[in-house]
Amino acid sequence: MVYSRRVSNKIAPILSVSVLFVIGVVFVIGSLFINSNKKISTSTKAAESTMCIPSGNVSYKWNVITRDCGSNSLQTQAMCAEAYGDSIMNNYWCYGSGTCMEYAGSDPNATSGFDNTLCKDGIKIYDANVSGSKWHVLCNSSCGSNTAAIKVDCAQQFQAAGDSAPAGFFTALGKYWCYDNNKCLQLTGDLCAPTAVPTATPRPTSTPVPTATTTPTPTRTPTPTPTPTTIPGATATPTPTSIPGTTSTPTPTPTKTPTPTAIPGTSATPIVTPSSTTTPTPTSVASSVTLNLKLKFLGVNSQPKTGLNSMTVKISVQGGSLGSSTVSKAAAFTADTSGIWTSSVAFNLTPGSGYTILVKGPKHLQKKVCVATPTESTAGLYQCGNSTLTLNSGINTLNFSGISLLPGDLAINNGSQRGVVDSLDLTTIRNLLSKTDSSSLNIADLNLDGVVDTQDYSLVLYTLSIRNDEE
Amino acid sequence: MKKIYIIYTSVIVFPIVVLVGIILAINAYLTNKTPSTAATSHVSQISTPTPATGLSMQLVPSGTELKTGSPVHVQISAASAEHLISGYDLIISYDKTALTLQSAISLVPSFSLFKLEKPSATTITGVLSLGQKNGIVLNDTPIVNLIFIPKTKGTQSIQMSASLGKLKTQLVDQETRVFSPRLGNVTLAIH
Repeated sequence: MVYSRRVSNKIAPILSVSVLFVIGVVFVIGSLFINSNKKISTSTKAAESTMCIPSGNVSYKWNVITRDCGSNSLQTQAMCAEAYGDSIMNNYWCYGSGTCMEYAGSDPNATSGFDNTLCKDGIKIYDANVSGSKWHVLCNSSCGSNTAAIKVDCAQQFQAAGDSAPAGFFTALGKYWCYDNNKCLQLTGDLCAPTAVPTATPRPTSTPVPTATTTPTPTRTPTPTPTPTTIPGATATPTPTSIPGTTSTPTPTPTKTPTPTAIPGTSATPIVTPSSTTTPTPTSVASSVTLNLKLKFLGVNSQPKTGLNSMTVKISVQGGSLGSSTVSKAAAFTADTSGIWTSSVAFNLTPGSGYTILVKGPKHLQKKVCVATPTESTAGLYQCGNSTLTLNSGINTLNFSGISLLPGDLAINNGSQRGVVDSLDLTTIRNLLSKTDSSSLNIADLNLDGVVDTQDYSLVLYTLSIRNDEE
Repeated sequence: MKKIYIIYTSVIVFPIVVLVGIILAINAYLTNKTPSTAATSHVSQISTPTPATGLSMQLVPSGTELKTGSPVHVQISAASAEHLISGYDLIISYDKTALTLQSAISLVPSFSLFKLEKPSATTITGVLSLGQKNGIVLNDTPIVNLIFIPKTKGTQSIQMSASLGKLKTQLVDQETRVFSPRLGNVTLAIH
């Protein structure tokens, strides 16, 4: 009896520990297995979300083949959207190399100022009230210059697919078009037709298809009935039709949050103070110069969600009494409901003229500004000439919201930017597509909508047309 | 008492040792099983240019005896030393008063090109299309076709420059590692 009690006293702890051990092993193996499955399924989901949906061939005026033919259409759509002050790129289309079109159906401002104007090479060639028109055209805009190469690429794809290439294979570029990042279009009708300007007709879906020559007219109802209006001197334009199977992707409107009353950036932190090589004018006295700044970032057209509504921006001042040296400070900017970012930063400067301001966002190329209220017709095209900016002692109001800071210089390598936008930035965004975690958003959510997606990708494509920091 | 102590100690220590071993083994197995997933999710550890062993970008002209006004095709071929490339940046330097770059066309269908003219050079960025899941290995693969139009007679050099300001000629793999390839140039005789 005593012996058996001794034995049970020895075995009891062994048994209990062994049971606990087995439970622990099962728990650890189970959790590891679940985690590994979760990783794989997340990865698969991300990959699926970036896949293109084939449309197949359709027997409309345009034939469609599905392939990867570049993203330039998104780039130009982004530029057009920016030109219209809108963030929804699907509402826009860039045609040729100089015409932005806006889809009026989703534009809250389209009920007024909708003029049905058609442009060619930036010149208004037709202006009439066309019944049922849903598109209008922005004159004097620029849509980039890469379309020709992409169209040649599309032509090569058609040829490789066994389709007959037209005579003058590389010169008949008007017969090809790259649409929506994965569809090459080939014009099956005549490229040249009697001089006519197309009328706007409804279309069945909200996804526009570009045409081959002058000005396409996206439609909205399923049975388009184009009735070309002959205009002397104008060239022919095939009427685009919708592509069955394609769907529009509405962009959700970010949840608006109240504008904070306090501006975190008012207590700016100095980050760089290079030594000045120029001796200040002896008669001048340095004093506190406060810059009240307003900024705009390309792609951010409304107030971001809570948590994404603050950006640290590097503000630098050069020229004037500073000569060739530069002083910089970092300030936190916050956005209002219209996507204008404000903050204040104070420098100890000698009041005077000839100053220039350099502004660099956390994911953006640096912009050099020479006037208090710069403007530009197309995002990124403002150029600083001779500085006429005068900074006075006390508060100076600098409204830079008329120009856009271009995103794309991502803080990839341990948080440091490189002052250039290139394939590394694009590859980084590509790898982070569909991510919503804070680390990924800090790197690559450029329009601050809470997800890394193709809109962020296309914003970087747009910035490729500028590439470098301005200094 | 001593025996009980030894038994208790071995009963506690032994399972812990075994448990740690099992965890390490499973972790090692899972890490080896999903290398690409792990690499993709860690994009911030990258971008330091890697020494270019076996990586190159070369210019290959269609001919060297050429006439003014006639198109000259110059292909850029690249070798990536088994790395899966998903992007590249090129800096093409040439005398713009003597040569006009008429077009640059991707010879790899899954790549799209973006060209930007600078005063002293032309920069080209190639990126893998979003619909393409994986990068590609380049093995002296022609990636870009450049079409130049000679404007003046004489000897003209076309070079691939390593850098232009902050922009660099580079290859980027799908794990966002950056490589600086060995670069070539070509000399054309224009008649």
